[in-house]
Amino acid sequence: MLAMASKAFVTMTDPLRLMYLGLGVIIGLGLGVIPGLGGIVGMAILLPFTFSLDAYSAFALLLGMGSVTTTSDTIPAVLFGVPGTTGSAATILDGHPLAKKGQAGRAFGAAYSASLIGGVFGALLLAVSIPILRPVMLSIGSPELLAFAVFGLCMVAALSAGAPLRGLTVAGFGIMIAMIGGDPQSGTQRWALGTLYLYDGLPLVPVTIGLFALPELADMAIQRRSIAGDSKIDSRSGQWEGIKDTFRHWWLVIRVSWLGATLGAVPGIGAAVIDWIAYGHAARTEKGAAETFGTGDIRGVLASEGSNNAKEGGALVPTIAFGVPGSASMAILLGAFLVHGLQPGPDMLSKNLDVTYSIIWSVALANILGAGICFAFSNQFAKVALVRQPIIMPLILTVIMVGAYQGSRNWGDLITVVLFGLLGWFMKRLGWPRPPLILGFVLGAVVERYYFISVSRYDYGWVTNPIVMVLLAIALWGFIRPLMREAKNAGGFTGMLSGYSRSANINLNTLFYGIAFVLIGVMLTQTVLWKYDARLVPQAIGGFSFALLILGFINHTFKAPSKSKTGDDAKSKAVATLKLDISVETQADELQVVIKRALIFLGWIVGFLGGIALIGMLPTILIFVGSYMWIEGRERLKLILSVSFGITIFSYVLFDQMLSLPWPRSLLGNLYPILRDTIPSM
Amino acid sequence: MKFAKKLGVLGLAGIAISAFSATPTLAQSVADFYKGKTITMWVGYSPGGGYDTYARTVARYMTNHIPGNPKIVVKNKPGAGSMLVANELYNVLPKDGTAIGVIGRGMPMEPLLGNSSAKFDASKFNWLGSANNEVSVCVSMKSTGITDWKQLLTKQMTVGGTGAGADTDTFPKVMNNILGTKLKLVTGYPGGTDVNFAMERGELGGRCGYSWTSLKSRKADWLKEKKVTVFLQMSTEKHADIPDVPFIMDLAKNDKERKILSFIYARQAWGRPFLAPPGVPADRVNALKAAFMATMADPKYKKDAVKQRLEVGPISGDQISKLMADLYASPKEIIEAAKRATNSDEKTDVSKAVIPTETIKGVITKLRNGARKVSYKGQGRKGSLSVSGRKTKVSIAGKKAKRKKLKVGMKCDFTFRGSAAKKISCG
Repeated sequence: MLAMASKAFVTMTDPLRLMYLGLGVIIGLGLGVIPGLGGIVGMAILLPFTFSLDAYSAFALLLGMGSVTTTSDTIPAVLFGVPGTTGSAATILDGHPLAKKGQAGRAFGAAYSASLIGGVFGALLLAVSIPILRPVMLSIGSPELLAFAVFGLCMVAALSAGAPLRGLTVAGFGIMIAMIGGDPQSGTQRWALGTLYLYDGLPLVPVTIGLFALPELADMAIQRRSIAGDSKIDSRSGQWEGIKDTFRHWWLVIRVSWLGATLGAVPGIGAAVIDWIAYGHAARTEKGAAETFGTGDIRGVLASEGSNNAKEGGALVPTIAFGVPGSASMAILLGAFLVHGLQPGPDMLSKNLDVTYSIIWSVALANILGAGICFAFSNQFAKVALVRQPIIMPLILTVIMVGAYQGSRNWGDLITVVLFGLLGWFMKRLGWPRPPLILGFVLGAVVERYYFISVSRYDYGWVTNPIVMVLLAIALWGFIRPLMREAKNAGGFTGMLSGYSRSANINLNTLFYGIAFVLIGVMLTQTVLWKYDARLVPQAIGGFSFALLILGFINHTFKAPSKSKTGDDAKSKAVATLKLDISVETQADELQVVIKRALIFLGWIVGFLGGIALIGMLPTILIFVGSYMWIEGRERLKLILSVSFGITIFSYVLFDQMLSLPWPRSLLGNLYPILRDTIPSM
Repeated sequence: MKFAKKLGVLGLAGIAISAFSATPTLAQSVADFYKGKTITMWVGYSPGGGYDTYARTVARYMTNHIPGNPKIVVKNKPGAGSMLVANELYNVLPKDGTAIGVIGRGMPMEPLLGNSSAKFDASKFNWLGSANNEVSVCVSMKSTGITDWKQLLTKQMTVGGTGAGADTDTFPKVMNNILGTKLKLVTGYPGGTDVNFAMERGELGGRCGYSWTSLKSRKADWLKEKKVTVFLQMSTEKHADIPDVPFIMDLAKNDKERKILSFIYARQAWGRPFLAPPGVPADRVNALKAAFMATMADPKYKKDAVKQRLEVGPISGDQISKLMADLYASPKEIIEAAKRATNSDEKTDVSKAVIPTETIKGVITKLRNGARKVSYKGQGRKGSLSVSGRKTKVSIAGKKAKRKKLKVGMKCDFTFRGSAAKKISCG
């Protein structure tokens, strides 16, 4: 085995193959930085180019690309609070506050080194488990997949510390929106609102971007300052500090790598939740995490980044051993296997073992190379945090809107991103944890799917399966323990049930509760006419959420606000630091300013959408960026022209020429099709 | 004011331009039209899947066979199993020959089956051709001991499905409803590879609705090591590779069943259908059709396709149009029966629709539950019928009688539909 591994290493060090690997890494880093683009897009585009290569070079190119998107996705996450891929949403929680403190360099240093360790660890796990790969995978049936998903879902409790009722309600809502679209059991269209856009369910990309990126941008616009404010940027020294952090917390990094690699191997548990599960794990197990997570604790960055790079090695396990893609990009990689005459399955672990090892080496080398390149250039990236808000804002907004549109290349994506942006902003401001929503959204559908499969295949006998029992026990423990701690903080159960007063506490949150009541209530009433299989889970979860909502509302309205703030999510802190607790009368002035600026920002976004509808995306980008810089910042004309034309040309070349993005059709283009032929995207 | 004026000028200019651009189509040859233009090939699925792979491979070579050699760009617009692209091709996208597409093979049936979201008439599309014709098969794992479909008439086997409406879900239902097999469908798997994996670990006994070419290329080891038995093939024509595997069309018991089956499996003929919107000028459509078939015969395309394990078995656009016209001319009762056969979970419902009323002369062999169930034997057949107190007409020696009066050993004429007795008149 070792001989085979070293033989594969020699094969991989062929200069030409290394060149392909390097090319893949550079493309992957580029795709990782841009929200909405990632490994899936890269795989689909690069695949045809690998036909003429030998198998080793082909995998070097494809996996070089696929392995490092989660290394560079840290850059926008830390700098702007915009996740570069869905796998780095958890990095924002602590990475972005660090950048705000002027410690972007440290966050980068820690993130890259954790990514590197995670990535190599994932490859290593794959390498050592080769002899036992097939038997282990064969013991994972639908009930076990269900248990894994439940385990992930139970992480919501840890992720909603400080606001358990709200967290669970939000998770329930996440599960409900995961049910949108055709039901696999009966084909019933659930909550599709009669639009084809929702037929296959809400796409993940615009939901993630809306929920996490837009609120961050809104607050940036409201605070009217560059990301790092007046603080200095810790470029080189900070990076060293970050690397030291990684080694200081090496045991955490190893743990999340292990978690990421293992969960990566479970089909259905995607990159979008692995980072959150790791983050939740760290929040629960690290000392003092409850107080500092969400405020720029380096351990939060390490947890998220270590896990999301480890996942790639894990995802290769079912792909290589059984031809079951562990992730969406792996499904495309399967195509590459076939082109090169390789059959995923037992052959890959015996006859073609050298190819398997070269795949492992590709992942490991790509991670090293990717982290290296990022280290070399982050000095420059970190300085972006000093750029003036009126320049940086329209650029990021443009990129994330086009990125969100990558979800399903439909107008619906743009509406989704804005709606979830609004929801995310209110949640952030009003102290509702957002991570449980993503967890519920991604895992809810998996749980429903495998619940029905398990029951229809095994009746209820599957519950007694030992792996299932162990996993469910761990899940239950992970679910209950944080809640117990909450209860203890609140003075035990008697404390939770006391302290009610007669004076009602009415504020903006009351309105939010009201909207939530109506929304979940309406959704629930719509389920009545569905077939049994289609309505079982939505009704159970919807009812549960509704009940929690009532409890939360009573608590909120009739209970004196508790003194201790132990949110591991950024928002409770944000509320504290921004002093936006509306119940305090003296803040009324500041509140007015916030509302005014928020409305202006919303106006810009609506204008952006209106522009797309009227004159097309690229012309809108040109006009939007230019006018934002002029109106909000009174920048110099020369700068305005160069920035706005620059981003428009960049978008044209990348999205129109290279990615053949089907632009949304504009009104003007519909009226005069000739314009569409001359001006792209009209 | 100034702005409004400008807008007005822009509008006038626009009208002038569009008027100008509309006139010359008459005199223009196909090559003139396509020269320097870009054709967009719309794919109704995400990048990387089967339809997308076919589209990208065809697009690479088709440009060389269209007069004027336009550039072909592939754009993915996934949604509702390609219904989005089908709707847009029919209603929105340009009808000048610069927009073509690939949609799911089941999509043309949607309007017929009454899906109101499908806003097109598939018989009016300009069909350019199909890259192959698909034969779908049923496989069973060795451990199940099933090697012949007839065993399934008495024995149960679990098959996996990927969701309501998918071939993997529809085809087992059709078999149960028409052939009377006892397949148990466990559905909801995320994709075909997950179904295969579940078979491998023994969670499922088999799969019905598996493209033969995909099985051959992706699971060659299963066939080589005889891990699975291919026990049925489903399409409108047999596949040359597997002449000995029973063919579903041969199993139809009567003409009506045959019609229903050919309605359901018609889609297999156009495995990967390429199409242009209705209303594209005829000369361009003809050029595109010819270019499609020329691409299929292009050695470079073939080499590329073989390398990617794509089957080359083209069907011409005219053939598809003809099949589609037949499909759309199907009598309403066949469509309704097909709808039931593909949807119904209850076998009996469909057997009412499909199986005609029969009369058999025979003997009562067993009575159960106060003659609510009557078993019979006769004319080389036996079976059991449910006797309704209200709906079943029972007569003994020519006189109307209660079902309780029936006795084992009586000689009777049994008239029934499915398992429901209509009339029992005994000696």
